[in-house]
Amino acid sequence: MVKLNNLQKEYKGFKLNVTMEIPEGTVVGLIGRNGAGKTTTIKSILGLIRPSGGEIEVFGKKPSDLTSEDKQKIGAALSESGFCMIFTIEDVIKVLKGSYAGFDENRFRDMCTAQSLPFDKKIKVFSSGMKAKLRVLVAMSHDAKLLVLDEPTAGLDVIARNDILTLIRKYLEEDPTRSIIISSHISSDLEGLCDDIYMINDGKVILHEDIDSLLGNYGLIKLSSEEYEAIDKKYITAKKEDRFSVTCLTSEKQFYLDNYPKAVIENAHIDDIIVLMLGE
Amino acid sequence: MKIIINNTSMIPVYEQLMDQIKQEIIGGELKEGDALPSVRNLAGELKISALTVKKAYDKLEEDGFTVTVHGKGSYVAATDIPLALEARRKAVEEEFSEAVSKARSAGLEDDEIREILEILLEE
Amino acid sequence: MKGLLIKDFRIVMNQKKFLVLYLFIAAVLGFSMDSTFIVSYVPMVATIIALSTISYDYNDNGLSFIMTLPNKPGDYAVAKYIFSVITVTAMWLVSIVIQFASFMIQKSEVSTAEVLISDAVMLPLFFLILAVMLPIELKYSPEKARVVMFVIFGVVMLAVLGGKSIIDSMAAKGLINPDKVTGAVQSFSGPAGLIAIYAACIIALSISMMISIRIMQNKEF
Repeated sequence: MVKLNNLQKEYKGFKLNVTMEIPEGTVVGLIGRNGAGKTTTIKSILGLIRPSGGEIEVFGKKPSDLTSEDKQKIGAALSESGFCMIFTIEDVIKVLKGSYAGFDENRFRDMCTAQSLPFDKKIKVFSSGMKAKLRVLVAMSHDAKLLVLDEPTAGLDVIARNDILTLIRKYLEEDPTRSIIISSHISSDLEGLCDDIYMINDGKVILHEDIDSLLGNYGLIKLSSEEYEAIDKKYITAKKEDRFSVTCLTSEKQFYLDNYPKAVIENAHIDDIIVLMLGE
Repeated sequence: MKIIINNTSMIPVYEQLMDQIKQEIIGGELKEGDALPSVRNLAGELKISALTVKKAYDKLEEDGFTVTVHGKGSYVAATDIPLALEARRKAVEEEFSEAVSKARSAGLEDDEIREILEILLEE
Repeated sequence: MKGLLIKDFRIVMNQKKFLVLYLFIAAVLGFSMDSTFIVSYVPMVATIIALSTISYDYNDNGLSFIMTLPNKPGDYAVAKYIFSVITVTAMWLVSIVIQFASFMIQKSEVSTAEVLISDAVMLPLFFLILAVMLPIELKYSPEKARVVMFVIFGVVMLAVLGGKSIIDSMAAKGLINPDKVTGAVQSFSGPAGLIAIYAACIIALSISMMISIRIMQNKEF
């Protein structure tokens, strides 16, 4: 559905160059630090900014060539941009009705009610959790085939994040041909949702794995300095030393499970991988 | 249907899923012709990736436990349970025999091998 | 584009209190003084309100989200023109109604034709303001554009006053015949002149819209 081939974008002091794909029916997660390039990538997919090089295809076309009908199939939730603050949800409904042929008003109303969003208060007075939920509900309100979500859970408490993730999961269940790209720096959110993970740092993709391999094959091995000297480092991709031990990252957990049965080996999560890969 | 995923286990999630579904089929809780939940539905409920569920479903089909009808979903296949059990026993026997060979070539005595087995069974 | 027009309409509707206040002031001023003032005041307010929708859009980075709606960037510009022209024209008509209402209440004796003609000349003036201000507000942030608006108004007023005094001084020196100048200006009040003024403004608006569409297509959000 979406293909990025050496997509490049340059700003002052920052250069993006990423290659990735969002196949139909897949949930792709974009993880990275603030400023790593997640939002730039997302904005390029939405056609909000133009690439300085490389290719990008959405539904087989350049984003700038997408027609209004094509754009009906895209639902977007941006982290710092949404409907006018003086609008109420009633205003939002009127605009969505006039913009999207596939807008399901009853369903949208039901979902807003289920999330306890008030219909007659201005968005200005919503809490950040409510604003975030509204953005995601708006993106999901018109049967979009591609959801583009930029940090939909940023700044929210764990319950609100959970609510939003549940909404997203239900959206996928309704139609398995829907695809999602979601960027976040809260990796635990992505682990329970995504099929495919791209880790971005400094404008480049530093890791691309499907979540199954990532959680199934990657592992943390905790050793003493002596044990570290002795261990076979064939599948150790990173290490971090602290005062009392050495923590290693491996992409072949099973090798070490088989050959070093006494070693302390843990499942690695995305956060561990990021810290070990990007740490000094 | 009962599925419990242990996120701290070293066993990959898709394997845990496969094993538990197999257990239910062998144990009779899932009967021939029963429909398995859709990939997205199970993934959403368990909060795991759909690809993981798909992998488990594909392997279950490979092993003959389920049948996938394109566009409709996965269903429990007509398996001959005693045969399936027998096949699993054989597989376990083979793995044991390999382990024993390895142990012997590592210089372990039969008594030591039994000791190891005892300790493992206690875990 | 329908969604964009609905959006602008809702922005304006959300400012109901201001609208009522403005119209109230218009009614008060109009009924107490020269009612012709209403026909310049009310459309002026409408122009400002129409242009203000751009401020609301640009606020809080809202433009990025607007561009994810199923419209092309050029549509945003076109919608602004359609909305502004409709709003200003509608309020101009309303102001004429108020004007004639006040004539009736004050029992003024007026030549309907003369009043309507002077009313008719007002509308293109506002179209011209839109034609100038819309591309500026779209290209630069509305705050910067506001400064530009004041500068332009200042220049225009100076030109009008300056022009008038130049004509007066030239007339005093006998260089031109003031009656001929008045005659020339009055010829514009005839039907031919009116059509010419409207045609010129429509052309100005069209050119302005082309420019605005270009501006939006080249923007990044």
